[in-house]
Amino acid sequence: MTAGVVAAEDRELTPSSEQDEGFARLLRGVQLWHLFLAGVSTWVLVNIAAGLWALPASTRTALGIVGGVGLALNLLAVVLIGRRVRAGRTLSFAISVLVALFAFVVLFVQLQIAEGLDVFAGAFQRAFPALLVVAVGVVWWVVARRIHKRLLPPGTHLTDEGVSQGAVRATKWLQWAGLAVVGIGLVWWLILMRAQRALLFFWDAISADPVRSVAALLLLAAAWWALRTVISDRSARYFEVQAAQAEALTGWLYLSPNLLGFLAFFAGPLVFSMIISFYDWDGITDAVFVGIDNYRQTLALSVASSAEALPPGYTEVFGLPFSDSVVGGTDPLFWKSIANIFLFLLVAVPGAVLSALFLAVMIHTGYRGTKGFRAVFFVPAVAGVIGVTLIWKQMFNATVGFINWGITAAGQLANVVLPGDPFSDRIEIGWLSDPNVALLAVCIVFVWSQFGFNTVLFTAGLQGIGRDLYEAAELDGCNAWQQFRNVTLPQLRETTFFVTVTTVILALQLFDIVYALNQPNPVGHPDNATLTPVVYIYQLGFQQDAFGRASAVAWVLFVIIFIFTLAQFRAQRSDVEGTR
Amino acid sequence: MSRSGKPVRGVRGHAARAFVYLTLAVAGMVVLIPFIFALSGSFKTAEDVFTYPPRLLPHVPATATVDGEDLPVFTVPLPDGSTADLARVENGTSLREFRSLEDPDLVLVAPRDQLTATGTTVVVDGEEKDVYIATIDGAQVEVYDNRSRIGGTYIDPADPAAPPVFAVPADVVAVEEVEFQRGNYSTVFNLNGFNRALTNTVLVTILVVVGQVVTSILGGYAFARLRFKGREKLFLLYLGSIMIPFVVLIIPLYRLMVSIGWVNDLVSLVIPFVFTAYGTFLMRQFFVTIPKELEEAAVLDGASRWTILWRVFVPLSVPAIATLTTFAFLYAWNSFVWPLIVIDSGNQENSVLALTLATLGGRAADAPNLVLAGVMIAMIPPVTVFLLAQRYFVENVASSGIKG
Repeated sequence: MTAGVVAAEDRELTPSSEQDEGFARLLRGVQLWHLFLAGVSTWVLVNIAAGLWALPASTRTALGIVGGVGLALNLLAVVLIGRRVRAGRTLSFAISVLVALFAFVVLFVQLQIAEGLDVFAGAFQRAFPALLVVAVGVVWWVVARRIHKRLLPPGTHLTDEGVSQGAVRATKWLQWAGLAVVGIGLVWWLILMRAQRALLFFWDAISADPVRSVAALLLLAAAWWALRTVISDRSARYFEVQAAQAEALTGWLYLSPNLLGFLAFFAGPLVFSMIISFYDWDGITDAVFVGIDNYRQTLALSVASSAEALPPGYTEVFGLPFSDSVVGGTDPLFWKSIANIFLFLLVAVPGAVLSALFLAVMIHTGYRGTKGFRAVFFVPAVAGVIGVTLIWKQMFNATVGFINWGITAAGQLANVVLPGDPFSDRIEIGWLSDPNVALLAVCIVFVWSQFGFNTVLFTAGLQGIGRDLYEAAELDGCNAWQQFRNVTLPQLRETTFFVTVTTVILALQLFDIVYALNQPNPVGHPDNATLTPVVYIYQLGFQQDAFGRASAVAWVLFVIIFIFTLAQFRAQRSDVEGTR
Repeated sequence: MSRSGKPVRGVRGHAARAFVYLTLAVAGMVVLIPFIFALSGSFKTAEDVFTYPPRLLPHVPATATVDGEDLPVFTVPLPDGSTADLARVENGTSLREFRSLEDPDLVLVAPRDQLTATGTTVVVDGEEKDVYIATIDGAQVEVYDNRSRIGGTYIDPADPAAPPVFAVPADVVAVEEVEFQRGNYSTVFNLNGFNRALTNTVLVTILVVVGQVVTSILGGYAFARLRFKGREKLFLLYLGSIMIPFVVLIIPLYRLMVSIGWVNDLVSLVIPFVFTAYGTFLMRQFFVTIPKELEEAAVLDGASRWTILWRVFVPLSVPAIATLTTFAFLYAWNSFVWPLIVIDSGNQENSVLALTLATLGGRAADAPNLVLAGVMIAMIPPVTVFLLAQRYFVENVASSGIKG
């Protein structure tokens, strides 16, 4: 236990001169590393100043700034570390992380990882049967282990009474057999993958420019070494960092993969999206700044006494009630998509929320086996929206579809009761081709795949209602309906609000169902009856290459979604504050 | 019925229980019917899917083997008024329609050379017709040759030597038998790069799940246990980012892929989705609940942060990691909008299942059976994973209410 005692003493951050000296030598290495980086920066600056590299002006300027800042910061780091200033540690850390990232990106490009993944996918397909063997082996092993553990629980011995020795040995043997299957599968997989080709692939990639690859590798290794030195506990002691802040750099290091990815693939694009929404840009020619024109064109409305009296560029969007006046817009398709999505919300949200509430109450009655229905109801949400939509598409077939057959059968039944046989013996609703019902078809698929998710949320809410409330209600002589009306509903208010808003936010982003339901017809079929905002953004951005307009519409949609999100956030916060 | 989770007894209790089970069963059927429909359709022939009224079991036209040849079987009316299931040896036989002179409703269809001509004629509706002698039910009947018909020649597969029976198509009904078209699955598997899309989806899903779990564990640990300046603000930023809908990102992210040359590459389906605020949030919330004492014991043993994370925190966080894995798996497996944008529809090498399925869905008019078989293949992995991880999944949705 001596090691533990020493470590505990170390935590007290008492500097000992002997350790200091050893570490100072290590730090001289770090200083050398920053001097090297300063040298590289100088080299870059000299090359740019002498005009040795043929580069576009903007890249030259950018490189110049990077070189200048790099030179200054690295020199500063050398000085600060030499003077044992705490900020030097942080600065060194930041520089090393950035250099490591740079080297990593260079290696990623040099080793052709992106192209390599596509090649790998080809081999992966070829070797897939072997992977299935591995999977079978793993499942086999897990099952055998479970049985083994059940036969021989921890704490019992093979010689104990009641333990069947033969069965225990057999399961042990079965475990080994499972592992053997895994092993055989893996070897077969490597053979089928032709692993030697992967080596050749990387060899080719490296030998295309060996200097750059090796340099990047060395740079990565050096940066990693410098990082570890700087964030170590010894470094924290050397720089006399307070215990509470000693782990700060480690924290940033652990967060860095996530944070850099977050910046590159979320925050960066988000800002970029905001910027290009103010530009007219087709992705090929230079972007032209147009101010708020994209937004104006999307949102502009004008009222006139008749469709002919609208200003030029405006098309009728809808007529005002009780008068001949019409409202015109510069982008009638956008308004059509908004009208569609709100019509959709009007039907789909109550459908997906009320059915879930009703079923959750049924499940919560607590009769045997009702809980299992939660999982059943959830299956449509996990089965994959494209798959389930294609099933519905087949069932919606106008002439031979299952739905119309069901409706026809119901009509025939009604004919027996109703006089005059009002229903035809072959009802053929054009679910996917009739503009009047196409959106309803989308609603049906949405509600069907969403209500299971909401049911789970409601059952969780119902479990939170105290039993005493019901007992009190029962004492007051409330019947089942009155209990539901006066206890369940008020108590579920917050859950209902949460479920409704979640469903609304999801519904506002409707796209997949519409797309899959209409293939191979253009999205929005028929007659733009299923044109939703996201479908419209897709059309603008990826079929008309109007990236600026598409971004502007996306931000408008975001504002609509955000209003609901904010409402939800507020409610949750007041919920939390209320319970405190 | 009582909503307090305490079943009511007595007659009313029984009625309530019946009502609960009935509604749940009906809702369960509503959920399951499309899946049953898809399963049944995936085993049918294309013609059978378009049969009206729809049937549960897949049917094919029945055949009988006569002299080593597979012949379609039909229910054919016989001259004596009964019917028999006979094999069609010839389609398009030129036949004549004979009508009895005494009873014009008595009709016989046969080739002309099967009957004996009398050489006389008769005038029917102002037209002169030849008269023949036919044998119907053992009786000799005088008939006239009314008009030409095209029909089929049918024989009894059990007794091929017996005299053939003739009938026009309107009078026969094809005999069908139940047969499962298991071949649909292998056909769709080898269609338009479907198998490549399947293995690509597996590969992409594995990479995304592993990447997400690793970065989320690292980030979650930093947010939960490592103190640094600005941590709380940064965490709030992460939380806020969960609220940004993906729609806002698709265009700039696509342009980013264009500028780094990842369009049409599988890497574009992996790297941008390895870093998730949601996963980081999930892991952080779990790590926060792990008692500090466990960690301090490890520190006293001289363990490094890295060791503590992987030897103490990760083994204790199996439920959270399982939840994150399930969410990430389902999301990666089913994601559609992004592949649609970043992978060309004609690119069969780098397509994924959702995309290939959507393209396949365009063939619903001529091969709905293949579409449904493809859908079944694509649905099996996520549904299996869900059923295995159901406990984690349902509990997590219920507790946090945040959707992955």
